[in-house]
Amino acid sequence: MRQISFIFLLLPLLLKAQSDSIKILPVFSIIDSLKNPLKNSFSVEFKQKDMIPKLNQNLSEMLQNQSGVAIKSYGPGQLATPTFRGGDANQTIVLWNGAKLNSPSLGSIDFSLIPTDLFQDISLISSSSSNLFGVGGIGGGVLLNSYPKTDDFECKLGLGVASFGQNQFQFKLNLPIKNLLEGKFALLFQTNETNAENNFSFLDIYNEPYSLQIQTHSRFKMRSSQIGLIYKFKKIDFTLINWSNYANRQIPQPINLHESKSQFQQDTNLRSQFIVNYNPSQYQSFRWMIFSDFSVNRYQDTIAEIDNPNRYNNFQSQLDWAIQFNKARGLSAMNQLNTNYTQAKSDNFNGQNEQLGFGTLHQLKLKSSKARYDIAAGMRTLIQDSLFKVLPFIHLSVRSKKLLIPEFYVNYSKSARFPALNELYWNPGGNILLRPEEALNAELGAKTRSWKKISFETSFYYSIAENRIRWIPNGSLFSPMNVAESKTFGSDSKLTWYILDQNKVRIKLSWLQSFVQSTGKINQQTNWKSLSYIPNIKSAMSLKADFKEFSGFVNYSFVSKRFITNDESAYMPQYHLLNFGSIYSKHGVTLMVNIDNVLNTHYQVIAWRPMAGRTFNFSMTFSL
Amino acid sequence: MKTHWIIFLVSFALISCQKSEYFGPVYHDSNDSINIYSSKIIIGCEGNFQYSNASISIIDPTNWTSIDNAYKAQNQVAIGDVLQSFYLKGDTLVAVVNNSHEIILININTFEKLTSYSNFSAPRYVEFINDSLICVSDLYANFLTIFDIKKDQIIKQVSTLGWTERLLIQDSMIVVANIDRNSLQFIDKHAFTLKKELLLQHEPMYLFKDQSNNLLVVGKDTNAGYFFTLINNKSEILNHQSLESTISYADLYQDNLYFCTNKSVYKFDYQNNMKIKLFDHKAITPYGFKISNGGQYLVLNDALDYISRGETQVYSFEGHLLHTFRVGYIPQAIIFAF
Repeated sequence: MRQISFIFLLLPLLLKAQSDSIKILPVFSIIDSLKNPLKNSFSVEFKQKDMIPKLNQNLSEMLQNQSGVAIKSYGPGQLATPTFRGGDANQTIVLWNGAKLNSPSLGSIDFSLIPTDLFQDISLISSSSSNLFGVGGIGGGVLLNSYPKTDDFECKLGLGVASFGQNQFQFKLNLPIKNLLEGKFALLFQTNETNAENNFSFLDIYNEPYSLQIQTHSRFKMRSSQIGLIYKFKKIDFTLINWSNYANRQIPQPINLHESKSQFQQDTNLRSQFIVNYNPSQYQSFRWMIFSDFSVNRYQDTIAEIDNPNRYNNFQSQLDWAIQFNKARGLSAMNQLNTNYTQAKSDNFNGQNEQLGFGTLHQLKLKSSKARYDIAAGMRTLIQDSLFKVLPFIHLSVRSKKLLIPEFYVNYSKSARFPALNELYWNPGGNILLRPEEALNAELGAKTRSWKKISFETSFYYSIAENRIRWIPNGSLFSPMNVAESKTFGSDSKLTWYILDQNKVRIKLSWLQSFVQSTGKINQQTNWKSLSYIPNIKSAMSLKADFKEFSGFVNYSFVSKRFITNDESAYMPQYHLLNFGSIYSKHGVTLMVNIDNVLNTHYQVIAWRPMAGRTFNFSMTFSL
Repeated sequence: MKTHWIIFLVSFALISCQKSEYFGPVYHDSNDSINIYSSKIIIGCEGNFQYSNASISIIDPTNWTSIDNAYKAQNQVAIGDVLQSFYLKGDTLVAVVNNSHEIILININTFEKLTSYSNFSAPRYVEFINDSLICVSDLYANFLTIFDIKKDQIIKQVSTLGWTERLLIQDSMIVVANIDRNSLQFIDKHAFTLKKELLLQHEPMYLFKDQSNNLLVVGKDTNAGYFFTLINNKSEILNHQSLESTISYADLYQDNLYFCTNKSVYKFDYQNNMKIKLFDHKAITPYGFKISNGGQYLVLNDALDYISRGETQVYSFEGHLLHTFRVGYIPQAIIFAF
C-alpha cells in the first residue's frame, strides 16, 4: 500500500495509458443505431487506435488492465474467463459482428484465445442491454467487430519479443479497391502468432521456506487469422469474413501438487460469416447475417489416459430489419428473426447431440424531437430444446439542454441463459430436465457531457437470478441442477479527463471501476453468502501522454479479495498491478517498450496458480 | 522536471524489491495448540480438488467437543490434496491422500506425522496384509501396489486393468473392487498374483466382509438403481437384491447393512431380506456414514454444497439428531479410535 501511495504522489508524470472512449459508435445504419446500447445503459467502448499497441494482447489481458471487469485466469497462456456483475463465465455473451461465439457445449468462451488486434472496436455491454444482442448475457457481454474498410489503406508488420521465451508476429493488410464494378471493394487479411514458453519465476508459497521456482510445462502457441472481403454498391454491401484460430497449450499443475507434464489442450476454431446490409432509404435498413463455427477442443491427460476431442458445428442466421416511421417524432422499430443450430460430439455424450433454436427480437423506440428523451421497449424470444422464453426490456433516458446537468437513464429487463449441451447430455450426470437460468435486472445511471474535457458516467444496478445451474452430487455422480439463486447489486463508473490537449501534447486520464456485492444460496436450507471468485472492487486507471513522436503510459489495476468458498470461510487476497510503457513512432516505424507488473508483484488469481512477475516487452511495427 | 525523473527512478529501484508475504488462499485459522483426545472420532475431509485443503477433524465422544484441522495444527502443514480414506492399525493412522499421490502415517495419539510414501499414481484405499506390507488400490494406475512400509519400497504391482477402489482380506486373498470392469478381483496375498475375477451385475462401490466371512458388495447398476450382492468364500453368489434408486453411503454392522439415501437412513437385514427405514436425516448432501463401535449411534457426514465447510451429524438409532459439528470441506471418511 505504501508503494501505491508513493506512485500516486508521482502522478503528474508524463506516462501513457489506455483505451476508453465514450464516443458514440459510428452509425452505419438504423439497425446499428437502434442497437446502440450506449445511451440507455452502462457500456464501454475500446477503439483499436486507442488501445495499448501491445502486440497480440488477448482479451483477458486487455480487460484486466483497462476495465472494471474481473478476469479469472489460470496463468499466462491458460484459461481465462470473465465475471460481469456477479455472473458466471457462461453468463457473458461474446458476439463477433453479431454472431454468438460462446461454446454451445460449455456456454462460455476462453478469453485468452481472443486476440484484440483483430478487431476495430470492442465494446462491453451490461446485462441491462444484452437482450438487444442475444440470449445468455445475464452478467453482460462483449461485442467484437472486425470488417474490411473501403476507405482506409493499412499495411502493417509487427515483430515482438518478451520475457519468458515469448515472441510475437503480426501482419495486417487492408486494401481498398475503388471503382470496381461501379462500387467499392476492400480486402482484409490479418494474422498474428504468439509463441511463449511462459517459464517465469514465481514464489512457491506452498512449501516453507518460500523459494523462487521456475514455471514449467506451460508452453503456449496460438495463430489467429482473418480474411475478409467487402463490396459496397450503392445501397447495399456484402461482407464475407473468415476467422481461424489454432491454439496449443501445455497445462501445468498447480504449485501445491507434484509437478506433472501430462496435460495438454488444443483448440481449433474455424468461423465464417456472410453479411448483407441493405439500406433502401434513410428510413429503412435490412441486415442479413449467416455464420458457421467449426470447433474442436481436445483435452489430453497421459496419466489419466484421457484423450477427448469435443467437437461442435454451429450455424446461425439472423435477419434484421428496421424502420423509422416518422423522423419528426423519432419513432422507429426493429425486428429480428434468428435461427441457431448446433451439432456436437464428445466422448462423454451418448453419440452426437443436436440443438435447434428459433428466436425473435422486437423493439420500438421513441425519441423526442429535441432529443430530450428517448424510450425503447421490446422483447427477445427464444425457443430451444422445447424451452421457450420471452425476455422483455424497457429503457428510458432523459437529458437536459443544460450542459452541466447529466443525462439520466433507467432500464429494466429480464434475461436468461439456456442450458449448454454438456449440462444436458454429459455422460454421466447430464440433466435433460434443466430449465433456463433467469434474471431480472434494473439499472439507474447518469452521465455527464464533456465539461472542461472531463466526462463521467456512473450506474447503479440490482439483479436477482434464479434457477442458476450448479453441478451438485446426485447419488454417486455430479449432475447440473437448477438450485441456486443470487442477488447482485453494485455500481460501474468511468471517468475520462483530457488533462492537456494541445497540438503537440496530449495527456489523458481514464478510470473505470466496478463495485459488486453478489450473494447467493445453493438451496433453501443454506444462508445467503458471497459468491465465490467475485471481487467486491475491480478498478483500472490509465494515464497516457503524447508528445510529438513519443508516447508514454502507465496502467494501474486493483482487484479486491475474493471468497473461494460458498460460506465465506476462505478467500484469495487482494492484489494490484502496475504497467509502464513508452512508444516512439515516426515515418511508419513504431518502437514500443513496456513493462508489465513493474512492481514484480507476486499474486494468484486462482488458488495455487502462479502469475508472471515483471515482464519486459519489446516490439517493432512497420506501417506503410 | 529532472528532479522528478531522478526521484521516480530511485523510487522505482527501491520499490522493485518484492516482500515474501503469503498471497495464496487464506482459510480459517487452525488452533494454535491442541490437546488430542484420548478417545476420538476422526473425520477425514477430502477438500476441494487441487486446492490442498484436505483436513482432519476430531470429535471427543465423551464431552462432544471437536477440533478442526488437527493435522495442520500439529504439523504446521496441510495434509494435502483430496484425503480419500483412512486405515487404523494399532496407534498408526494411515491416511491416503489421493491427489497428492501419497500415503501418510500419523501417530493417532499426537497426530504428528510419522512418515509418508510418495510412490503412487492416484491412491484410493489401503489394506494391511501383514505388519509391514500394505496393498494400495489406484484410480489411474491400472494396478494394485504391494508396498513395504518398513523398507519404503514397492514389492510388486499387480495388473488390474482398471480403476480399483475398496479392498479387504478374505482368507488368503486380497479382494479388490474394480469399478471399470464391474468385478471383484482376487489376488493371492502371498504370491501377489491375480487368481480370479468375479463379474458382477453392478459397480462394486462398497465392499464389506461379514462375521461369516461372506463378502457384501453394494453398488449401482446403470439406470436400474443400487443393488446388494452377497458372496461366500467360494465366490458363490448367495443373494442379490435391489436396494434403492440412489444410495449415498453404506456401512455394515453386526451383519446388518445400513445405508443412507439423500433423505433417509435404512437398515437391511440381508439374512432375512428385510429392509426398514430407520429415520429421515437432516443432511443436505450425505457423503460419509458409519455406525459407532458398540452400536450406540450413527455418524453422518454432510458435504453441503461441496464448496462450504461440511458438517458431521451424530444420530441415535431412533433418528434423534444428538450433535452437529462444523468440520472441513467435503467430510467423508470416519474412523472410531476408542
